[in-house]
Amino acid sequence: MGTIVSDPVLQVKYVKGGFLGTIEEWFISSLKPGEVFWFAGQALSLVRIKDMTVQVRKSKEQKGKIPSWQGGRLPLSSELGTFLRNQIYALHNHDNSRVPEIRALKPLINIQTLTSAIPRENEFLIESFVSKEGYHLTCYPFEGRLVHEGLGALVAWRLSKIKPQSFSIAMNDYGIEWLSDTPIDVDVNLLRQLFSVEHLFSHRKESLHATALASRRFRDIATISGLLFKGYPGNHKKDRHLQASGTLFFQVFQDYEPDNLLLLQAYEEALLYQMEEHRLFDALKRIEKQQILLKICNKATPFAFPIMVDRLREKLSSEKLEDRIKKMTLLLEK
Amino acid sequence: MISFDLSIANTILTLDARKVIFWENTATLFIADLHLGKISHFRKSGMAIPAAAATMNLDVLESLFIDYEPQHCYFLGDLFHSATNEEWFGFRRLCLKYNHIHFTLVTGNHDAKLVKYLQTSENDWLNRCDTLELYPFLLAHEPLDHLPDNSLVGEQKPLFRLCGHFHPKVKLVGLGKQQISMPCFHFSENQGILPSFGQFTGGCFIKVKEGDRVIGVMNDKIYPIGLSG
Repeated sequence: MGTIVSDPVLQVKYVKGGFLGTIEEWFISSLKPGEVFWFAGQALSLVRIKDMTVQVRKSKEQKGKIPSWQGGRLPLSSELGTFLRNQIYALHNHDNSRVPEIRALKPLINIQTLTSAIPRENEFLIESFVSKEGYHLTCYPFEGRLVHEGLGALVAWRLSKIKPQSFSIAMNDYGIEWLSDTPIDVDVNLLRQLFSVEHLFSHRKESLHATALASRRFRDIATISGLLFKGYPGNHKKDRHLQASGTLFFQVFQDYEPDNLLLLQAYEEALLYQMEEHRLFDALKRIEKQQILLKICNKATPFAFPIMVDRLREKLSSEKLEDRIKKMTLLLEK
Repeated sequence: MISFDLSIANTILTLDARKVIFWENTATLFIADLHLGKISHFRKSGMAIPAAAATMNLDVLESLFIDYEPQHCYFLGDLFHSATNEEWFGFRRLCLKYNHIHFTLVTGNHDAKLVKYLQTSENDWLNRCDTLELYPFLLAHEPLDHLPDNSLVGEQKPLFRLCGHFHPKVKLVGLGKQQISMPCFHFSENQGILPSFGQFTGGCFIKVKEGDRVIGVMNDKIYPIGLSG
């Protein structure tokens, strides 16, 4: 039982022995044997994963994957967000910029200007486009990932009240993307309402219940309370008859003990972090003062692309399950 | 839709949204992976899972006995999760209440402790076996693909295998990165795998091949699922 919640880590060792350090399991499981990654200051090629140990050999290759840790996903603070927004507004004079990064970004800035726009200080950019995947709507508040998770759920929930529709929501520190299999019909007036501070308090609660934000919070809570045991560091889990997943715990509490304190804690934390009221309020207040700049684009813009490829997505749907299943198919094993 | 009739091996099986199969011809009920006692087992180890989830299993079981009036009931393995605890007695009481039903346990990997316990006490109301031929079906706990090939040598007759063990689930995908996953029945050429009956049991995504039938179960309803090419 531990109170520091981290992803499972594996030890990295040379095949002949010699301990190098620890690495998170999700990263190493994305590599195939023979692939090279940088670790402990050297290029290492993966030999095998055995008994919670990653066995490696030194490699002569110069290119390799760079490991990352989940803890590295620290969201932007509101101060940094403001600073970044100002940088974006300053892109309008990028020709004279002396910052080397901005000069390097010139081709991308040109594409963004050509296909959509770079927002000015009094503008809030929203882009809409269609792709093979479906209908996209993106916006760029630069408020940090956590606030975007809350804002993403809030706007999707408000949209889903207009007509039955299913959304997949992606976000990073810069912006939010809503993706649906049916057209997302919006105009500037509707967007005003979607990003309005009105009924913020009740709407953020409802949208929280419509998404899995609390369920994800619950995983940490289950670990700290001892429901989920991830094993001692470097050791296998014991007593397999006592294993269950965080979502399973969440489900069973939700169904049979909705007033359970651990469950309420999960909702509270989601409200506190993802839906931090004053930050959400400040963000919406700022957007309210700005002019909404709705751009219909032909394809994904340089602003939109990094958000679209984010794999961690939130879901929200107001469609009937029957209707959703009718539109879906099962992937066959080839 | 709460039940779905599927024609298999020249007979008809009724798949019920309560994750069981009823074979009307012989008034037989098939149930897999009840994992009774799992919740009490966790609670005993200090994990306070709501006890109400445990009685739910038995309530659903009783509703099946009432709705279908079966004469036979086969548990396809993993009847009991671990060492016997008070959940066993609730289950026993329920089964004895419907003592006109013939109960049989096809033992599974989780049942070792239960089998030992059954040997030491009076429990002739529950028959036990490892596999069972029930023409045209072969009842077992583990699916075929889970066994090493040579373990099949003894079985010449191509009986249709009904089993559990996997707790099968499927993931449906759609446009706009839509995804739904749910427990399911999985029927392939010569075997049918039942979803796990027990509350508080997880699942495992199955590999579906062309020609398979998949029937999903979600929110007490049953959904035959179309396969894409």
